[in-house]
This record gives sequence, C-alpha cells and structure tokens, in this order.
Amino acid sequence: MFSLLLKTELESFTRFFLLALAANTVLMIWLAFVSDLPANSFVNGSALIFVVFLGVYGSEYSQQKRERLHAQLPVSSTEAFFASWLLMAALLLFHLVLWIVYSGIMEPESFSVAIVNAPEIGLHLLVFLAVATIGINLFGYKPWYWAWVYLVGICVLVFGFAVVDSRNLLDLEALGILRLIRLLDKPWDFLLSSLALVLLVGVDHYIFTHRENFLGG
Amino acid sequence: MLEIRQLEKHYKNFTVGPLDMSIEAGSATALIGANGAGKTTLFRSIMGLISRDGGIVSIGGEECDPAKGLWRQQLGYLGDYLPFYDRWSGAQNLKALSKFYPGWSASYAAELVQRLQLNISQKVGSYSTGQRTKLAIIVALAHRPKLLLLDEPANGLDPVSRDEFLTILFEHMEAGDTALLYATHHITELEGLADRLIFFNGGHIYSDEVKEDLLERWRLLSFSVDQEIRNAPSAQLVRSELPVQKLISSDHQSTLQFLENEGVLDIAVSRMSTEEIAVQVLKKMLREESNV
Repeated sequence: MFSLLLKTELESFTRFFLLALAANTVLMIWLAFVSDLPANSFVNGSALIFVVFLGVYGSEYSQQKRERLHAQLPVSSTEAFFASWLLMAALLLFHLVLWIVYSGIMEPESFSVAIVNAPEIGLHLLVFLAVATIGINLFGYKPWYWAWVYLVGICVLVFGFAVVDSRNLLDLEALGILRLIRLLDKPWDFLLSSLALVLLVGVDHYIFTHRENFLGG
Repeated sequence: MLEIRQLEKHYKNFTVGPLDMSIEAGSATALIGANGAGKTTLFRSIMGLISRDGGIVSIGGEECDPAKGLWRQQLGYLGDYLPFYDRWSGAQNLKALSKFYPGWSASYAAELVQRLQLNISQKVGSYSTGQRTKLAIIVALAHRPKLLLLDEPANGLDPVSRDEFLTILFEHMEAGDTALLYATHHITELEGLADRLIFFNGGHIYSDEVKEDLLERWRLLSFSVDQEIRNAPSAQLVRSELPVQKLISSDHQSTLQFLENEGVLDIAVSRMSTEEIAVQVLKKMLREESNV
C-alpha cells in the first residue's frame, strides 16, 4: 500500500514539480542572460523557490485535510508519514539535480565542487524541514504545551545563532533562511547532518504516529 | 463483525465510554442521540482518526490499529468531513481511491454515479456539500465493505438524492451480509432498514433495543375519564383535556392492565412509528439528564 500511496501523492503533486521547474528555468535564464549576479546565486534563489513551494504544498495539505484522507485509507500511519516525507524529499532531489545541471552548464570548471556541495545543502535543507515538521506535528500531540516549548526553544536557538554570528540584531539577513543554511553549513559536516536528520525524522515519526488525532488542519 | 470492548475517550469536559458494543454481520443498527452525545467521537475512535484512551475495537476479529491500516479495506466510512484530492475531478478521485480496495467494483461505482446523478468530470474542489457527500457514498459502497460506518450520511443531500441514497443502501444491505452502523437525527431515514436502535447520550449507551421489540411495546393510548390519571406505569401523559386523555406507554400491556383495574373502558390503542418512539426515548433521556 505504501508504493500505491506514494504514487498517488506524486501524481497529485505533479503540477508542483512543473511549476517549480518553470520557476527555476526562469531564474536560470535570468541569471545567465540578464543579471550580473554570480552564477552560484542560482543555488540560493532555487533554494528559496524550494522553500516557497514547500510552503504552498504544506498549505494545500492542510486545507484539503490530506492527513485525514490518509487516515481513512487502508494505509498505516507510518506509511502516511513516510509518503509525505518522501514527497518533500523528491521535490528537494529535483532541485539538487537542477543545481548540478546548472553548474555543469554555467560553471563547468567547478562542476566537481557542485556535485559535492549540492547534496550537502540538500541535507541541510532536509534538517531544516525536519525541525519544522516536528514543530507542526507537535501541535497535534499531547500535552499541548510541548509545541510551544519547542517553538520557543527553536526561536531562541535561531536568534542566538544569529546574534552570536552577526553581533548585530539589525542585520535582518542574519535571521533569514539563507543565513540559517549557511550557519548550518559551517560547523557540521556531512556525516553529522545525516545523523541529525535520521534522529530528527525518527522523532518526527514518533510524534506523528502518537498524535492525538489525524483529523487534519 | 464490529466488536467494541471498554472503549474510552476523554476530553476536558466530556468522556465517551467505557463502551461495549457489537454489531453483527448483516444487521443494520441506528445510533440515535442528540447533538453532542458523542456519536461522531465514537465513529472517529473506531476509524482511528482520534486516539483512544482505552479499549479495543476489532472488525471481523482484526484489531483496528491505526499503526496498521489494512483493516480499513473491510470498511466503508462516511464521516463529518469528506476529504478528497480537491484539484482532481470526481472521476480521477474514484480511479485513484479504487486502487486501495481490492474488492472495488468499477461497474457498481459507475452505477452509483449514474443513480446519484453526480458529475464526475467536475473538479472536487468546486463540488457542493451534497456532491461531496455523493462521492463519499460511492467510495464507501463501491468496494462492498463488510462494515459500513455512516455518520449522518444524508446531511447535505437534496430530498430526491436522499431518497435514492436510502434505496441504494437498502439494496446494498439486502444483497450481502454487510453490517451497518448509521448515526442520524432523522429516524425516518432508517424506518425500513434498521433492525436495532441504540440510543446514545453523554458518551454512553442509554438503551439498546431491537426495533421490533420497541414497536411491539410502545403504544399511544386514548380514552375518556372523569379524573386525570397520572400514575399509570411505563406511561407518559401527552394530552389531558378532560374527559379525553392520551398516554404514551413504553409497555402497553402493563399500562392497559393498570387502566382496566382503574375502571377505564373503551381504550383506543394505536401503534407508533419508529420516529415517534425515538422522539419519546430522546425526550425521556434528556429529562433524566436534566434531573441529574
């Protein structure tokens, strides 16, 4: 049933892939022929497109009560959890491939670096995603205050990083997603991020499957 | 078919259970209760849409564990909200959802679409409540489940569609050994279908009755007397404009015996419909609740 659920979700998600492809193509053309920005700006811009599309998907998932639909189908809560996760990972993988392809075309000399960098950034984005989904899923978990404890904890952590790193609260970029990605990039290597991701997804899975309800947004 | 043992669900101001219930294959049970009685919570608990605080639910001997899920193939459910892939048409939804149910009959689904007059080329996101309900009915029935859980399914349907739906449901029940649990406020919907009535209040079963027994026991009694009779056993005074007096009795044999002993003659005895009986039981239930 898992492969069937995943296939159905992917089919319902096809237009997101097409729209993301269109947005990335526009960005690619703009950077290549119009803008003076360095070629590596594509990764930053494309990462932003990924996050925006993820937000749109999350909103639709919630509005259509997809979680509830899954809970009414003959699939387990674990299957529903991993189907959603793999879908988000597939969207990210799609972007990683685009980054590598773009680098191969625009900066052939640094292609080998891009092949290493793209998965690493992708991994960091997945860690970011896991942190976010744990927060979302905690809102359906008993006792209710865990979600707020977690939210405040994350805010303090992010704000702390921003302050320590920038020493300037007025540096708005320090609070932005791109800054966060760069901050994550610095202290941790690939292995540590992978371990963090496995741990976070494990925690997220536990929270999701032990939710108070599956009634959806 | 459906076995519920010691089911419990606690909320801050409301508790359902501990609840024991069993629904036999081929039987149709009406779950009747006022708003907020806990019917929807019961359905959601069975489906695994909400966590249970205790108890076991099983269908055909298989425990309904949300951590698994294949048990839902035996089940047709129509709840208080009907989720679908909103950007897909009705046809696309039916095609996608059919794959989850090995027992899905495409020809039966097509027949239901035609009988319920549902436009399945339209996007589900633009469906009215009634159209969504029709689609949910088709999904719930087309795989010929062993158990049907219908939570006020006719809500949002126009009178013609409601009538057609009830005919379909009747035929569906006649054709197989599906067990049905049907929550409703409109008992007339189940007049010819239900063989058992469970009255639900405050998260508990108030009474669980075989419909024929109820119909056999309850009567409206009319007679003429000089003095009002107020203490007849198992009876409720519904009209007293002396000399005419009317009583509703939940056990007409004992009430008649009492009236005869009191010297009342010429008692007109009328049968009551399921709806009339259900209303009386609900009133009694609420009266007792307000007295507590």
